[in-house]
Amino acid sequence: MDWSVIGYLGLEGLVVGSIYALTALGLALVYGLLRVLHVAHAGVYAVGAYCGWIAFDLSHSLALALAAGAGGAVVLGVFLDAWFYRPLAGKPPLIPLIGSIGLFLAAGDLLRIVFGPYQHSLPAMNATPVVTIAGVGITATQVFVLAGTAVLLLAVYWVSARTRLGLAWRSIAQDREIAAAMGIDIPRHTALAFALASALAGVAGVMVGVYYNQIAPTMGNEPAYKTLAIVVLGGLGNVWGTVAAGLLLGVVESVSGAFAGNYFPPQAVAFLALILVLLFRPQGLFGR
Amino acid sequence: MLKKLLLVLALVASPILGAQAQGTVTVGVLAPLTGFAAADGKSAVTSIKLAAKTINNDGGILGKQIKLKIYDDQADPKQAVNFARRLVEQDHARFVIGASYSGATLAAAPVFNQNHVPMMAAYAVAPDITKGHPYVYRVGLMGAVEGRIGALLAHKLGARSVAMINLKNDFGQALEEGFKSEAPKQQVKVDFSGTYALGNQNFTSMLVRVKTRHPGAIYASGYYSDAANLVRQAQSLGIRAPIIGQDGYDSPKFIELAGPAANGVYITTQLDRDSKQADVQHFLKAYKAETGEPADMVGASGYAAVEVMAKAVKQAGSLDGNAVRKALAKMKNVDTVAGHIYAWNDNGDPIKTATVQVINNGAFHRYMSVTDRKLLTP
Repeated sequence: MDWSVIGYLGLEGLVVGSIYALTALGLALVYGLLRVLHVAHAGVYAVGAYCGWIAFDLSHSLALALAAGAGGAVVLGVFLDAWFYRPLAGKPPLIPLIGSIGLFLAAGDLLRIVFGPYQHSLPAMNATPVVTIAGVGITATQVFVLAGTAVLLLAVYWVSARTRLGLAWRSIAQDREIAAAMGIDIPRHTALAFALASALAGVAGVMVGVYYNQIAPTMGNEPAYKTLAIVVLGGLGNVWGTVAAGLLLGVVESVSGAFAGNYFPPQAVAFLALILVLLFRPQGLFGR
Repeated sequence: MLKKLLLVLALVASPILGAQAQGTVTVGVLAPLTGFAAADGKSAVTSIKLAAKTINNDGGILGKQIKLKIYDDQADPKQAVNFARRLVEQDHARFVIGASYSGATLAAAPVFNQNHVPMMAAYAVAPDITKGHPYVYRVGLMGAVEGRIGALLAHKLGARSVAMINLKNDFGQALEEGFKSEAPKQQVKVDFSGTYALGNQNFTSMLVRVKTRHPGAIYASGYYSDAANLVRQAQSLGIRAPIIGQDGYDSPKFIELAGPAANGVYITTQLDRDSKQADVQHFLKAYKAETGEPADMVGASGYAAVEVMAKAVKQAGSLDGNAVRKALAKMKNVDTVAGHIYAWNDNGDPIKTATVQVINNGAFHRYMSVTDRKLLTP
């Protein structure tokens, strides 16, 4: 077997995994604070992609598209927190979960009604190889996704480890009542978590749109189930475990797709992993 | 008392009489307008409406105006059966255009057949839709026939070995079977065969393996949004072998989504944009005027289905289901916007011409017409 093939599969897996990690990270953050599975996060991701597409169509600027994707997603995410999750706080967890699934479906249908059922292209970048390393041609779009994800992950790390905001999030995740008793404004910090999570999802949506040169009203369907599998794999609410699980899933899908794709479609890897983890390691691969 | 009775009678009878006075024909349409297949449903319904409008402007069918009754079956067999019943029992549709995917059309076909309501399937490929259903006909090319045309094309392009990338559904499977049955006759060897699931975006895993085989051509089945990724990723990987697709690629959206990588891709399809035929040019112009976008194959199939049914009713001289069905069975050499139909076989599947289109400078152009009746007979 040619090493450049393995190298390419690994690289492509990391690119796809980066997008998984960015999307799932927000889900883990929200779960850590609210203990609800924010399925509508995949809807926020799709809406972010459409906002980016509109901005790109008007300005032909990738930077503006990313900003619009993040901005649109933040507005939607914060709105969902304030008008949907907050009123449902204290209800059994099944209620916000079911509502969240409904919101996710509504987001996809709303995009279809407003922008039509057809896919749209987001031709911000060519997928032509720009550099060859050890026989592996790396495209501009791959560099864009990998570099963009690295920058965002470093930023999230800095916020969560080095700022008072990150400290407040960790204290809320550990014990909500005590955190509140210590004077931490929980609604405000939850809103900020939704803002960050949604911004990441919006950017991920735009990145996917650029990477595959297409966005569609149904684009949230795959992330909706894959991100759930990833947060469970990463250990529910464990942010860095989630990032690792996202990258791992990308690489496993890429490699298994090449050698076993005929018998075992890559889309099924996430499900199989979810089943195995729930059976044998319910705390997640990286959970304690 | 008598006056009252007459009044009641008049009130009861008026809707019935009214309908007759207006002189309309209710034509049922099943198409996916929401859900995963919504884009195809929209193209089909837009085109069906255009066809109905054209026919109505020319005086309608047997002097009656077509009135469309359109239901969104979401490409879901359960929904399709419900709406098929409604079309038969409530709407009293005289005939139906099946503008949905195979699963839904397959589920609806027996309902129309039992009730003697003729149905014309526009672009669904499952062979069983027509089998054993004398009231169900098809206007689109059979998947297996299209697969054979793919093998013929591979030979024409000088490919000795072909890598196949197959969509894992009934469409992809029919194409694969057709291609593999014809390939030996065309001296084409299938050197690699991979499958993928509908909605797959990333083909790089499969393509890196295809690349190591150095095939003379790649035969990849699928629909345009997936296929756009496939050809784009093949280009990124430096694969130069020509890619052969089918009518699933046949949409301006394919060219938009694939970008420059679409150039040089061949497709076996039914809508020949370079045809001089009057209805083809009328359809292309009318579709563009209506939607602002160029037409696609699914749209052309929907339009063709209405065209053919209108001709059959005219030939039958009646809207009676049995008469229309018999007229269809006898019809020969029908020109439609989606190809020339020589005749229908006993199942109700068309023996029809196909076209190979190649994309140059971001537009579909005719590469060759396929008129070999033996190859085209299902």
